[in-house]
Amino acid sequence: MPGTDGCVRCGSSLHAATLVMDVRPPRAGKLAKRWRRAMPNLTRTQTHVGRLIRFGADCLSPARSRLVITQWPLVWRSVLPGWAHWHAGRRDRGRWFITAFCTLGAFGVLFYGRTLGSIFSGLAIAVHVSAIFDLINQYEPPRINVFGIAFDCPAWLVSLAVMMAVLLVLYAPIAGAIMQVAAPVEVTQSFEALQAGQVVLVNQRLGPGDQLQDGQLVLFNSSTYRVLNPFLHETVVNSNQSIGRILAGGGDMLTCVGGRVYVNGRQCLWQPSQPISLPSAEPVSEGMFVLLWNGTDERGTAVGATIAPELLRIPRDQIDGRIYWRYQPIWKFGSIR
Amino acid sequence: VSSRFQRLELDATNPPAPKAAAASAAPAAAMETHDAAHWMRVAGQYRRQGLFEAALRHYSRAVEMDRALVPGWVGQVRMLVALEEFPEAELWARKALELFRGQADLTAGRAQALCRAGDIKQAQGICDAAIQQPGQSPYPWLVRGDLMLALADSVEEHCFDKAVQLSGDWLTLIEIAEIYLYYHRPAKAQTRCQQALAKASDQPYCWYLQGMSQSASGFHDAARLSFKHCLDLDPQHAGARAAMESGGGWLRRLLGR
Repeated sequence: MPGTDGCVRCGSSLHAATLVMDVRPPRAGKLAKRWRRAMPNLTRTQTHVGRLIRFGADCLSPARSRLVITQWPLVWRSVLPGWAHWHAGRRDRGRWFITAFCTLGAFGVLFYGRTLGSIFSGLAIAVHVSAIFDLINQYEPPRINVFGIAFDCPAWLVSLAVMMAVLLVLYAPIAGAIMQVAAPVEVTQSFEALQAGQVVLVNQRLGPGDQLQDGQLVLFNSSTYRVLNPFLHETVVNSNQSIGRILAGGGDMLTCVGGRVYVNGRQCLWQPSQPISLPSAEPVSEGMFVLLWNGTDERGTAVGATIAPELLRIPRDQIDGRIYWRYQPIWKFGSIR
Repeated sequence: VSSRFQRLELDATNPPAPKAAAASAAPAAAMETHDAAHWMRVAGQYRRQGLFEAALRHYSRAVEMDRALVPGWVGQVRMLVALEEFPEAELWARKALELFRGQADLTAGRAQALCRAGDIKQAQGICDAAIQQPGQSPYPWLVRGDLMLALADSVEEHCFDKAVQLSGDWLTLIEIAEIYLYYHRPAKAQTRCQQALAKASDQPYCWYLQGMSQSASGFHDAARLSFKHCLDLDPQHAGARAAMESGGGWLRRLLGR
C-alpha cells in the first residue's frame, strides 16, 4: 500500500531484506554474566528477598535503572494527610484522615513535653503514614528496571520506602528544628519561680553571634560523671543538667558587700537565698559566666568552679540553651523572665 | 589476544559434526556460495548438539544472508535464552518484532526472555498474544509451560504435551527437558529425555541431558552410564567428559549432589 512499508496482511516490514542493519545480537559481558550467575535463584524466583536486593541495586545504580511513578501529583500532595485523597476524588477518606491527623496533632501540641504528648504525636504520624499506605494500595505498584530486569515493586516494599521517606525527609527535619529552638525540658529541681515537674522550652541555638545577657535563665551542665561505654572504656558524660541564671559574663567584676552580690558596682536584681561573702573582688574572664543556681546537684563532679554557695563559674560551652517559655502546666503557659 | 582469534569462524562451512570439524579446509570462495538455508541447517545441527554459542553464530550468519529470514531471528533469540542472556534476548526479540510485527515465535521468545528475567506478569500477557497468533509452532506452548513452571503451576505438562503434539521432533522433547532442568525438576526432565531417546537414541545430546537429569536426581551410576553412551557417540563431547570426570566423588555421592 502506498505510504507504508508494512505487509497489508501481517504488518511485517517489506524492507527487511534491503535494510542496512546489524544482524549480530547484543551479548552479555563477562561481568554481567558473573553477576547474573551469582544470584541465579533470585532472578528465577519471585522472592521478597530478591526484590529487596534488586531494589537496593536499583537505588545504588541510578544511571542503569529506572523507577517509573506515574502518580507524581499524588506523591507530592502526600505531605499533608488527606490532600492526595482529596485530589484523587476520595474526599470522604481524605476528610477522615485530615480530621484524625489534626485532632491527634492538636493533642500532641497540647501535651507537648509530656509522655502523653509524645503518644499523641506518634499517633498523628501513624495516621499520616496510614493515609499514604491507603493511597498506595489504590494504585498499581511502580515498575522498576534493574540491570534490564523489570519487575513490579511490591506494595509492602513501596509502603516501607514511603514510610521511611516520610519519617526521614519530612518529620526528622521538623523534629530536629523544633528540638533546636523549643526543646522541652522537665524541671527536676525547683529554682526561683520554676517548680519541679514543670516543662520549659529551651532554645539551644547558641551560636557565636547569640549573646547571653545578664539575668537570663539558662540550662547548663552542672556536673559530669563517668560511664562505661559499649567498648568498655570510661567516658565522661555531661548530662546532669541544671537551671541557673546568669549574673555576670566575661569582663565583669563581681564583688560582695554586706552579703549582697554586686556586678560592676551595681547590685544584682537576683540574689542568693543566703548572704554570702567573697574574700576579694572576683573578675570574670572572657568566655566564662557566673551563674546563680540552687547548688544542690551532687550527682557527679561539678563542671565549674564554685565561687560561693549558689554561685558557680562555668565556661560558655557548658551552657546548653536559653530557657524562655513555660509550657506545662498549660494554665501557667507563658514567657519566663 | 589469542581469545579474539578463538572466536573466528574458520570452520563455519563444515557441518557441526565433530568428526567433520577436522576437515575444514574449504576454500573461501565456497563460503560465499552458501546460502541462508545452508547456514540455518548448520546452525540447527549445532543446536541439536547443545552447542548454543556456535548455533547462535550460524543463525546470525543466516540472517546476514537473508534479513527476512524469520526462523533465523527466532533462532538467535532462542540461543540467547539458552545461553542465559535474557535481557539481550528480550532486546533482540523486540528489535525483530519491529520488523516482523506479531510473529508468534518471536513474541514467544520475548515472553520467555522476560519470564526468565523475572518479569512474569508482562511475560504472561505477551505469551498469551503469541499463542493467539495463527500458526502451528510448538515454541509458544513451550514458553507457556516455562511460565507455568516459573509460577509453580502444575498445568505445565499440558502445555508441553501440546507442544509435542504439534511437533514430532525429538528436539522438542529435549527442549522441554532443558526447561525442566532450568527449574530444578530433574525427575520430569528425565521422563522427557527417555521419550526423546526412544525417538533418537543415536543423538549424544539426548544422552547427555539424560545424564544431567539423572545426576541431578541422585542416580549417579545411571548418569555415568548415560554420559558413557554420549561419549561413545561423540568422544569429543566436552560436557559429558567434564561430567564424567567430576561426578565420581564419594563425598558428592554421599551428599546426594
